[in-house]
Amino acid sequence: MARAPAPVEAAPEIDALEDLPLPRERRRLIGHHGAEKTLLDAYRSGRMHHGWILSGPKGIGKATLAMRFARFVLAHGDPRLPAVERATTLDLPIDNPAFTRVAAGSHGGLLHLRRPWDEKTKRFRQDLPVDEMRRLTRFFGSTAAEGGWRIAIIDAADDLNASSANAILKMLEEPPARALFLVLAHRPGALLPTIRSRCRMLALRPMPVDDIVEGLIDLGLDRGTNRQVLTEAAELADGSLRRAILLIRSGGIAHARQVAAMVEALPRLDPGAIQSLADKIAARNADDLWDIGLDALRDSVAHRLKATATLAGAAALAEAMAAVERDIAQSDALNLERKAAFVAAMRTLAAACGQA
Amino acid sequence: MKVTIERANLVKALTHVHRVVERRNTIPILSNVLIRAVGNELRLKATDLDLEVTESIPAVVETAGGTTVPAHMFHDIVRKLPEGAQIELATRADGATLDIRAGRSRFSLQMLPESDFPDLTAGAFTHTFQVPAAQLKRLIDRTQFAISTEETRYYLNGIFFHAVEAGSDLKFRAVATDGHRLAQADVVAPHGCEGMPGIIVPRKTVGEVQKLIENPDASVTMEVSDSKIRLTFGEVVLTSKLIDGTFPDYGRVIPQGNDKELKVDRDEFSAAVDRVSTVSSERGRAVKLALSEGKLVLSVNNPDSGSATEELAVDYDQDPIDIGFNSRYLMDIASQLETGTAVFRLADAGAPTLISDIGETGALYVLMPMRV
Repeated sequence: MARAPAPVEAAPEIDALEDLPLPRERRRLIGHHGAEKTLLDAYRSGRMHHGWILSGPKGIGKATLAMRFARFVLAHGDPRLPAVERATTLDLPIDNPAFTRVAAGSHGGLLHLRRPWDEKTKRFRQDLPVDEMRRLTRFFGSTAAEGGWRIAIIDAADDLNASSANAILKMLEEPPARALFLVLAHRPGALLPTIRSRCRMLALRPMPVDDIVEGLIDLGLDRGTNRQVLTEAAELADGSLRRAILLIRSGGIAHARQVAAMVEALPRLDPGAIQSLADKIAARNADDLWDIGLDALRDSVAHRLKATATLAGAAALAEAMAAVERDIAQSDALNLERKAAFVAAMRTLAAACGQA
Repeated sequence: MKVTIERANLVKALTHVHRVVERRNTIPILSNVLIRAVGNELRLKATDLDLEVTESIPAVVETAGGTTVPAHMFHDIVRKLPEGAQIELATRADGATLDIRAGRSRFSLQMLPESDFPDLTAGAFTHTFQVPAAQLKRLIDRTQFAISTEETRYYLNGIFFHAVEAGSDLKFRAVATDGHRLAQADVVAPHGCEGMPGIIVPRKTVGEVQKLIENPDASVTMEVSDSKIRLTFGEVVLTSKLIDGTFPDYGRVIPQGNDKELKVDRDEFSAAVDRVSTVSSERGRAVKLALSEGKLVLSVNNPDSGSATEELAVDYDQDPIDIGFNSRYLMDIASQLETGTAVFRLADAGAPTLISDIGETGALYVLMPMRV
């Protein structure tokens, strides 16, 4: 008999935050009551559209809502059930079999497509490859595992490349009976128009500061952190609970503030300060800090854009920021040094501000 | 849960069920096998979300209960225990560990809760019937090779089983095709399959069924609905999803009016095709069949490497005809034939050709020609 290979450790999952529940494991949804109601009403009507785009910035609860909706539909396969009639939210008790199985990732009626882990390179794939999307054909090409709905969550559509985006089109166009597509999109504007036109758009708003603080407390991030820091993180997080968590966990609040101050001071550059900040956020194993730094950069540039008086000045800054985004994406793709990318970004922005 | 089992029983059951568990899974619970002690038996269940296999084995149950443990590792452990051993399985009070004891060996395995384990809800079956295992195996053996592997035409990725009226008889028929070739096999319809929905059984399920047929003299219980199939082989039960699609109207591609009949010794033919195809290139594996009275000339011409011809004496008395086929496909079909003589029914160089055994065996094959 062939020797059995060593059992593989379960591969890591994209977007997971250490020690915190994944969206599929999370029962509570914070905010988004209107969006939840829209989904519930659509389901209850018995004539639900099969494709939905849940849009909104990263980290506000799109996947949590999608999972909540999926569980509800899987648990109550028939929209005419009294339980559906009575429901006021999509909540499901945690001892419901649909809840436990969705939480374990083992529900046969749910396909959750995300950027996969690459065993060879020990990294996450940069996109949602077309092989992954082909699972959709198999999934919808087979009868439903638990006799009811087949639900696919595409998490997130921003990761689709051209061929994988096209691969879902056919399924979106001619869905089998009792099929449901929940497409999550951080930037719905970047979606293929052909996908957008086949889906109903449900826009989720960035979370208010109070909701974020509530979420942080709910997830236990208030332990060992004072309330002041929670609020500060929530304010800096631009409506994203995920960002607030990262800010607290990485101790990046100060860095985010520093980035904001530097952008504020442009075109004046303090090379020493930039170098020392770049050293910190571009350090190895500090991916979270790097993301926080970039998010802060984007936010403060956007802020400054609004405050720019002249059209020419705004155009120059916007153009510079676009160039910075391209450079950063390229340096990530090629695995170049982040520190250099950050310093170069500040220079580019400074030059643009200097012109205006 | 606390239970004691014979090693031999456990090995056999685990061998059956562990095969369906994928080696690589992102989701930990999908690598596990469910074990549940109830009454005086131990029930094992494994799944890949498309099909599930369960088996019950006799056991001495001290405390009933259930849990899940990594399937392949559990199988390896049990396999390596000495023959004749009595194996004790006991869950620890912490709910996270299963202790396995046999003789002086001690293992403990991490468990995952039973409630997280997937369940392939079968729902109600509309048709139930008994098929002799040998007949089911034959239906699969004869058609499996023609199953398509092309995922875009997913409705061809399985064998189409249905009941069909042929003259006054009712037949239970299996059909598979990949668009280049088609295989069809019939057996006498078992009682109870009348009016069953036509079902497409996925390739992986077909392979498992084939492996689970150990005793050809036994009988298999088949239950079908329009979304599931369940096959019961004694203590082993396989439940599978079906392919959700419409199988093409295959009757239209089976030629009816092919009048040029060629009879050839199957083994000689197959060996000759194999020989001449040696010079063919990887991509175009066409072999040309030049037929004239009493004679068949097989030839392959590969501009990159060379050419080959071979002559066979055959039983043929119609107008001469030249036709090309994929050599791989010809050999696949030849290996399916049960009698020593292959019968080809041809129309012309561009039309599908019918291949079968001599006499009535209930199986036939259609092959599309290639341009040569």
